[in-house]
Amino acid sequence: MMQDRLERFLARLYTERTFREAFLADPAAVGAREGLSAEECRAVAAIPTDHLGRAARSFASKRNTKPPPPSILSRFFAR
Amino acid sequence: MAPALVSEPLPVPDQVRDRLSPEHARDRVGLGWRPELAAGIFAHLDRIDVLEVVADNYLAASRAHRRGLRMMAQQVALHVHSIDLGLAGAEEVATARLEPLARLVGDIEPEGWSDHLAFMRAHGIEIGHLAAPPRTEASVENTARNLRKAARIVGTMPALENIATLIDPPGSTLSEPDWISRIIAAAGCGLLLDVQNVHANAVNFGFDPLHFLDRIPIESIRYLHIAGGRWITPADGGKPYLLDDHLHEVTEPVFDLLAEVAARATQPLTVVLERDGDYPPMAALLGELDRARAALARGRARAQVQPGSVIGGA
Amino acid sequence: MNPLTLPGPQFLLFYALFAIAVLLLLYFGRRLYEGGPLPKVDTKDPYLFACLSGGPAEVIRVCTVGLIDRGLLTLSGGTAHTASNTALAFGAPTIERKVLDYFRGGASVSSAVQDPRLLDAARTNYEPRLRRADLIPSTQIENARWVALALAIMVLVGVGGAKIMIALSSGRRNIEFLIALMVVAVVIAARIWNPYRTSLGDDYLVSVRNLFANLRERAPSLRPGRATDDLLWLAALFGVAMLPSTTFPAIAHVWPRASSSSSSSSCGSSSCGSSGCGGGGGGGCGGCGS
Repeated sequence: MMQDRLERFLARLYTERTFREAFLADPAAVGAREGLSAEECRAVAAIPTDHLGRAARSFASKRNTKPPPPSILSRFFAR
Repeated sequence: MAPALVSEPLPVPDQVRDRLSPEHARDRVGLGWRPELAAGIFAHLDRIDVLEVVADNYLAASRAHRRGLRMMAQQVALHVHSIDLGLAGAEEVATARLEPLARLVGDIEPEGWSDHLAFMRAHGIEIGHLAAPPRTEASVENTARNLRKAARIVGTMPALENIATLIDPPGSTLSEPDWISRIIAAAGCGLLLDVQNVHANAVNFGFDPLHFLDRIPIESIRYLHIAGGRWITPADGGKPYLLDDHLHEVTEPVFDLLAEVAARATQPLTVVLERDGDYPPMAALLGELDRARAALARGRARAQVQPGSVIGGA
Repeated sequence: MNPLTLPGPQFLLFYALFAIAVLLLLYFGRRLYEGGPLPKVDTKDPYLFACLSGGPAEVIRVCTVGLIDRGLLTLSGGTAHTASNTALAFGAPTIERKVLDYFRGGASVSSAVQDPRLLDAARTNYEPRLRRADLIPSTQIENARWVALALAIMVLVGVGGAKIMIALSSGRRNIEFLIALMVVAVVIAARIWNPYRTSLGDDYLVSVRNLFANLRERAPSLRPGRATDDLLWLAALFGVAMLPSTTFPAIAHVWPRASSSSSSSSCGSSSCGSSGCGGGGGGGCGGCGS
């Protein structure tokens, strides 16, 4: 499903620096390799680089401060 | 037959039911429950109409802890606000994520619950926070599917909140207000309108927030969020942007937008102030609640009153 | 088989297990009878929670600490004086006025918690409200507790006494261990039958303490003189001993063992370490952070 593929692509862009840098260097090639259509590639490539950087930093900050998911034991005792 | 726009609420405590009945319907203003503010909230509960609890902080909480929240739900109207479900994502929302939430809602018995119009993960990749999905017909269907599943497992349909985004989602074929409208129509959910998020997106992406309000189903708004943010000037001298960080005072444009919503809506509105850190004295937060009340009153006063209609009429 | 015919050592074992069963029944029976849905209580006054936590004496301790922090009482060694030109805000709790009156001519801080008039003021201001909410025993609950204790003692003394009679009639005199067991069982029964709070009160206090777990964690960082609600609520819910000794050395010196020792279980661990949508210091639910 296209939506599914596009969200996966965005998730990688937001969270993987090397993937993001590779995409910015050659959007068409990386997009094609990940199964995006040419139109989708162009749409993603149109994201301003600084916006992408901000978003990636913001998400990284959230990931780093997020508490770990509850353990099986704590979930059990919460029942 | 088109699905109802108003979802069935959870059973509510008597003291809240009285407020929501047509005879006593009124706008309400409250605060996000934060453990750091517990003392201030307890001491000033008479000035707080509703508390909003972040579900993700309590999914693994002990029974005693949940009893405390249930006790709070008897003292004041309580709303549960979830973050992590990713209901607007292409991936089907996991049952394993919904079941703990269902247990929490069952234990606390809030008056309602909500989550966001966002995706959080894809193919095992955790983004870490709320990301705007491409706004397409496909994502409308995905969101409606996830909402129906969530309503089935949790027991009631949530309200969905619009998010602030640093990226205009690529591949979108719908505008944000049109996308929101279609999701609400498809799923029959309510809308939690985050006014600060509308304001932040409007200034960052250059659209008129009033046009945004023109295109969303105002009658579906059940709750509103207000919050503060700060302007960031990029180090490279690029265009400053507004960061929705919930660490600052609510600004006048947000109160103006709130008044505008109040002028357009006929149903009771519940407004929650979100403050996530750098807490000022409690008096300052209570002052913001009062400003919200004043904004609502301003809006209501401006509304054109048709003969025979009352605020709160269905 | 009649346990009263058991030989001595075996009967002692039986009696020990029997006594434990009676005491458990006394304890859990009380919890069951006194339990229920958590009541709705006016949350504005932290002294109400201090009373629930540690009784009228705790109200006086917490009130004194709060007045010192606000500068309305000055502390010198173990003696407190009401500051000159002291004026309470309109609507301040009555107990604050009573405590300020007590220290007007200067008095030792430790004496305040023993003053009958202050204790009576705390009792009459707060215990009726707690009693109405069944958080401390009402007359009905007290009567039920008396009946339960009487039954427990009757059963413990009855079974043990019957065996003693049988032993004595058989010419045996080695009944010391049995008497000791009976005394221990009766003493334990007397200790557990009538705690200050009802089991509903215990549950209510634990629930509220859980809501304030973050405040307890922040206790070491609280600073005096800020006149915030935090300090008063920390003392009210967890005891004045929770106040950081570095910032309140005098209080810790005056009441070195002051704590809610009459309370039952401590608050559960808090799993809500993050606040708000995105964690402390992070962004809100809007998806944006620094």
